[in-house]
Amino acid sequence: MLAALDQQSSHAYELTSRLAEAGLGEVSYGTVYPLITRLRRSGLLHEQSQPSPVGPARKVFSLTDAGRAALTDWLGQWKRSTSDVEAVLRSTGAWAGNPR
Amino acid sequence: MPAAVRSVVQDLQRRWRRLGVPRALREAVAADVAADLHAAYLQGRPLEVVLGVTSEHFAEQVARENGWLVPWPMYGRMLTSAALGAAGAIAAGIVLVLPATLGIVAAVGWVLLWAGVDLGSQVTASGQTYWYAPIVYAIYTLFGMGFVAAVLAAVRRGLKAAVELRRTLRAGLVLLTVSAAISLPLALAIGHASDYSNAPFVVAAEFSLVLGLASVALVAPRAWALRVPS
Repeated sequence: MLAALDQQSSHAYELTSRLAEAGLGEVSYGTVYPLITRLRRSGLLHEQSQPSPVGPARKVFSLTDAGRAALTDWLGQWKRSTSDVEAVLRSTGAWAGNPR
Repeated sequence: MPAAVRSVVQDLQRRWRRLGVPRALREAVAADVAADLHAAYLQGRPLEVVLGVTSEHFAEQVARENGWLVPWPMYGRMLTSAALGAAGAIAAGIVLVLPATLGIVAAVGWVLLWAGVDLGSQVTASGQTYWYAPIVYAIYTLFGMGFVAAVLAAVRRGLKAAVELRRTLRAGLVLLTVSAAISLPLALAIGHASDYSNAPFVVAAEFSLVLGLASVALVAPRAWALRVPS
């Protein structure tokens, strides 16, 4: 979610569509909205009201500086974890599809 | 707002209201959710599919992430419920207790007269006859107990989802009784001192005294129950 919002500010419902299109599968609004609330209260997201051409004004979310820092940290952890796992899989031969 | 969206949002509002979440907080989030669901509705997507979870689960998750799962004092709802309970008790008093008191006093008077008791001999130093006073005081004491029970029952109904409700009611029972024991004689004293005047200022003073102490007797236990761990 942080990565998607860093790429482009969105409102909560639009974010569910973008995450699904990015390959995460069906992501429900009922899951995304509470998480957005948690991120906002943690200071990682900024919210801004934007008028909508169809319907009431919507809240649009974007990353704060703390949100960008958290995203950078998380990406670093993810890359380290995945490279460690990949190293193990390569050394055991499982990576190439040659298990015992 | 489309009816389908309104129905979901009203359900969410109802669940948050039951938790005691203040109106300003729940309406801000409800408007937010309504705008998003409105957009989904315009795309033709069924709202149950969009939500992906039950509205009960969604309401709880949103409340949790907003930090709303806390013991809200709900003073306003408590005092409103108490006022409704009091109004009901007063109405029952006017309709039932007053006629019953007159009937009981009359019946006891007949019995005493039949037994040969001279009711005219019950004269006090001020020259007034009060033979029926103990009967009236007993009936009004019973009415007072019923009044307190009605107020607490109304508070229990109004705050049924609130935390620490039992402790609030137990402490409220004690303090309401104490407040009545203090405020009613004082109100009677004001009446006596003013020769039972029905001037607005005097009546307002009597009502303010009784209602003010009763309100404190309800709010204080609620604050205590929420602050002091059980």
